Amino acid sequence: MANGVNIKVENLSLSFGKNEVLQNINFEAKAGEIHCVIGPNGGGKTTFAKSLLGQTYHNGKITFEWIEKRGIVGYVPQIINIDKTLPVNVLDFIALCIQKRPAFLGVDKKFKKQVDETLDKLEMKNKSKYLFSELSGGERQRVLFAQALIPNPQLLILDEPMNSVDKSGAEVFSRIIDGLKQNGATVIWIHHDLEQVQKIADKVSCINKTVVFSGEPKSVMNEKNLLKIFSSRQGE
Amino acid sequence: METVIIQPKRQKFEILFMLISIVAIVGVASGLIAISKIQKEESVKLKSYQIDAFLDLEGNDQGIFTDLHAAVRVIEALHIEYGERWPTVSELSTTEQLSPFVEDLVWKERGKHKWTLFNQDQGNVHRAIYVGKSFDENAAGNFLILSEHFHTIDGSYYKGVNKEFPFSIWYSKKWELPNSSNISDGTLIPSGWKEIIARTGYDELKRLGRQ
Ligand SMILES: Nc1ncnc2c1ncn2[C@@H]1O[C@H](COP(=O)(O)OP(=O)(O)OP(=O)(O)O)[C@@H](O)[C@H]1O
Ligand SMILES: [Mg+2]
Repeated sequence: MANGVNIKVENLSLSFGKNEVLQNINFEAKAGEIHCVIGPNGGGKTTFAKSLLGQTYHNGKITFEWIEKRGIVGYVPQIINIDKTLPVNVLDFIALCIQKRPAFLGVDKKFKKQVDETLDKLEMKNKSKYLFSELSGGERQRVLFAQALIPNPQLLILDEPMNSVDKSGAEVFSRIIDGLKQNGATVIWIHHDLEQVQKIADKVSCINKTVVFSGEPKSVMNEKNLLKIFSSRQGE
Repeated sequence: METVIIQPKRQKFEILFMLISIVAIVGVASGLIAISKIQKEESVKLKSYQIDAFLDLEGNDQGIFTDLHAAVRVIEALHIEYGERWPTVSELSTTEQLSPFVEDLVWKERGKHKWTLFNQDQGNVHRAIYVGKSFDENAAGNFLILSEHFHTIDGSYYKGVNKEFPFSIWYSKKWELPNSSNISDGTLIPSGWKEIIARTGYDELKRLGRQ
C-alpha cells in the first residue's frame, strides 16, 4: 500500500505580534521522500511544522495531495523537558495519545499488538511499565516517537530537539523512518545534525524565516550555504 | 487521490490536533527537568567562563537566548533611533513588543523574567546592562546583556570597547548580581555568571571536517 502525500506550500507567512517568524515560504515535499528541514535556532522550523498541522494562524496556501485517500499523520513534537513526576507509565501515555486518533477508536486489541512491536523496535519493551520519571531524556524521546508510529503514518513530521536523542536511538529512528519511506510515506524531519542529514535526506530545506536554500543535499549543502545558515556572532 | 487544503487554526478542534495539544500540554504544564545530556564533542574551545548556547543550554534557556541574541541588535538600532539613548525596559516590552521582554504567554512559560536597565553611559562610551531575573528558576535561569560601544568624534562610527563585539550575553542559574555600579566581566565571572557563545557557521563546517 503506497499512500503518501505530496505537500505544497505557497507563500506561507506568519507573525507573532510584530515578530514576523515566517516570510513567503515556498516548499514542496513528495511522497516516498525524506525531506529534512534545517536552520538556526529560532529560525522558525517548529512554527513551520505546526503550520503544516494547521496549528497556526498562517497566511498562504498549504495543499496536501494524498496519493490515495486522506491518510494518517504522525507528529513527534520537540519536547525537551517533561515533568519528572508525570504519573503516567509508557503504555498509558501511548494509549492516551493513540485513542485520540480517529482511525483507532475502538480497536484497542489491534493496536495493543502494534504498541508492543513498536516498543520492541525502539528497544523500549522492557520499560513499558516505567513511569516517565524513570526514563532518561533519550528514552522519553523514543516514547514520543513511538506514539507517532501507531497506527502507521503516511506522513510523519518529526521535530527533533538538539540534544535529547542518544546515538543508538538515532540509529533506530533512522531505520524505522527508512521503512516508512519504503512504504511510500512522506517524512518531514527537522534535524540538527548536518552530518546525518547529508546521509539520510532525499531533499533538504534550510529555513531561517524564509527558505534560504532547498534541494538535494549533495548540491545545496555546500560551504557557502552552510555558512549562511548559522548566524555568526556578528549577525550577518 | 484526495486533495486537502490545510486551513489556519480556528476554534473548531479537530481530533488529530487534540492529540498534538495533549502531548504539548503534558510537556509544558507538567514543568521542566533537566534531561540527561549526551556527551558531544565540543566544537569550539570555550574559555572556562563561557558556555555554548546550543550544547549547554536547553529548553526555555535556549529559547530566551535565541531571542536575546536577536534583541541585542534591535536594542542597538533603537539606541541610535532614540538619539543615543538606551530604550527602557517598558519601551522594549510595550512600545516595541520585543521578545523576550514582551510579557506574553511565552514569557509566562519561560519564567516571567523581570528586566531592569542599568544605564552607565560615560562621555562617549555608551554602556547599558539589561538584567533579567527569573521569577521561576525551575523554568529558566537569569540572563544579562552587557552592551557597550563608543562613538568617535564624528559620531557615526562605533564599536565595542573591550571586545570584538559591542555586546555580550550572560547566564546564571542562581541569582547573584554584583553591585549594579560595577558590573563587568571582572565582577560577573566570580559571581558565577557565564558568557553564552553562539555557534557559528565555521564551527559547523569544522564539525563536518570541511575546514
Ligand atoms: N507562540 C509563540 N508566540 C510568540 N513567539 C513565538 C511563539 N512560538 C515561537 N515564537 C517565536 O518564533 C520564532 C521561531 O521559533 P521556532 O520555535 O519556530 O524556531 P525553531 O527553528 O524551531 O527553533 P529551534 O531550533 O530552537 O527549535 C522564535 O523567535 C520564537 O521565539
Ligand atoms: Mg524548534
